Amino acid sequence: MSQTTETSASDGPEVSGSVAAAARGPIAAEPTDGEGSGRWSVGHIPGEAGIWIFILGDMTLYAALFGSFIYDRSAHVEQFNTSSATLHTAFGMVNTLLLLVSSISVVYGIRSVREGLNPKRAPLFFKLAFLCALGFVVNKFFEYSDLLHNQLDPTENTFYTYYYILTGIHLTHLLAGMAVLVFLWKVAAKPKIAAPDIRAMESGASFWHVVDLLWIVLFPLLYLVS
Amino acid sequence: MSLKKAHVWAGWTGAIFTAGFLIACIPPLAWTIPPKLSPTSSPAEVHRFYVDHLTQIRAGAWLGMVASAFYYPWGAAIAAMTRRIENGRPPILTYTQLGAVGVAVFNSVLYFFWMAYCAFRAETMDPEMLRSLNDFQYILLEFEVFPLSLWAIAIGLLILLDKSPKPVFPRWTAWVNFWFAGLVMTGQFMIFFKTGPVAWNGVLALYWPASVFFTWICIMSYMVIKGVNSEDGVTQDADQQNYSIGPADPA
Repeated sequence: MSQTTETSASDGPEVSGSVAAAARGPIAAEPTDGEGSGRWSVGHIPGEAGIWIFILGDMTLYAALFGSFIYDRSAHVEQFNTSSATLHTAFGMVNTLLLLVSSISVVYGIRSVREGLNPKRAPLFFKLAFLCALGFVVNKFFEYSDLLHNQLDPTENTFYTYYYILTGIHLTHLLAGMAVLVFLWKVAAKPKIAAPDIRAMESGASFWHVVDLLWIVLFPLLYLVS
Repeated sequence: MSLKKAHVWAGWTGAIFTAGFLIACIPPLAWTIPPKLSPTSSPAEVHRFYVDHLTQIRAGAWLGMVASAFYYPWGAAIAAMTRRIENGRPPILTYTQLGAVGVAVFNSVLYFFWMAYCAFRAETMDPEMLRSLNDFQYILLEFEVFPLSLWAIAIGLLILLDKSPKPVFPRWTAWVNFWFAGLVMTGQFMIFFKTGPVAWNGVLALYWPASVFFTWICIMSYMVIKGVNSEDGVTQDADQQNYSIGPADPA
């Protein structure tokens, strides 16, 4: 960890051509598993090392939230089950699909940029991911409206407090992630993409996958567990 | 004492503030972390708590006020150290930090001031009024969140933008600042709830933001100490006399 930190710190300010070549190297020279896989050789950390401090730190919040949710759930099992049953699984399902599609688009987008095969296509993948995210927000808006219309607000009971807090914090992450997606598509559209750009894009993509991952945990926890 | 030694001490103030603040708040002193009271406590319960713990609460307030003083050298140290990153440009993000230091220190000072105020004449105070003043104390402690976040974002941005061959702080600390900025925000929802995890005695309003906050302070405190020790010979440019007038950015 410390070694990679030093590496990223030292080559942060100015990146020579050889570093750029090294960043692209493993894919062009020696694909590690099968043809055209676009994977990196062993030991590569996607993005800059610091983003993982941020991401793992962010996960600690969710770990605390999930722990606290499960603790409170065990005290009010009945309330949590009956309240959970009032949520419309369809909303959650659609959002899960949207985020999965967006994550796959980001994977393909990053892959096109790294391989430099079809540079025109990369921004399109990020735009598609952004549209999925937008769909998520619209869907969430309807879901919240529906609940509030039925007088189910955050103060209704402990389950709804958690529901709004968990989904609200996730939504905040998603909105930040949408800004990241715009960044990814702007960088992907640059005529010349250098090694620091790729590192920044990987950092952004990693964050987006975390937004997706958190939802994948939230969805069953709130909508399905009973 | 050399100037460098004084600056190392300025780095330590973050840790001193953390220790002082926490000792002031935990039992047997003020007992606000973990809180003995809750937003649903009756006026009589609040009144009884104050009357039974008058000396402890006053002692906690006294210690907390002393500890609060150590908050600003810590904040000022980070601002001063990141100042050289902005050389050649107006030091906007540095001044943003200084503004934030003022607000944050005042919040901490007012919190302990309020604690002392509640305990000053608690025996003869109307319980209803005392409960209200006690609520104010917790809102002071937990509601001021986004001003802190923006402060950390200013620090994090500067660290990311540091192009010097010998950066002020290691790059990963930028992400510690962003981590703090994002995660401390759960506390701010405390005004909407009187029970549950986001009420002022709940996990998300009190314990989580407090953990994130003091972790941030201690990490940056350590970084200031480390940074002061490695700044030898690289900060001439941060000297006001050498600060060129107007933008000298080659780009």
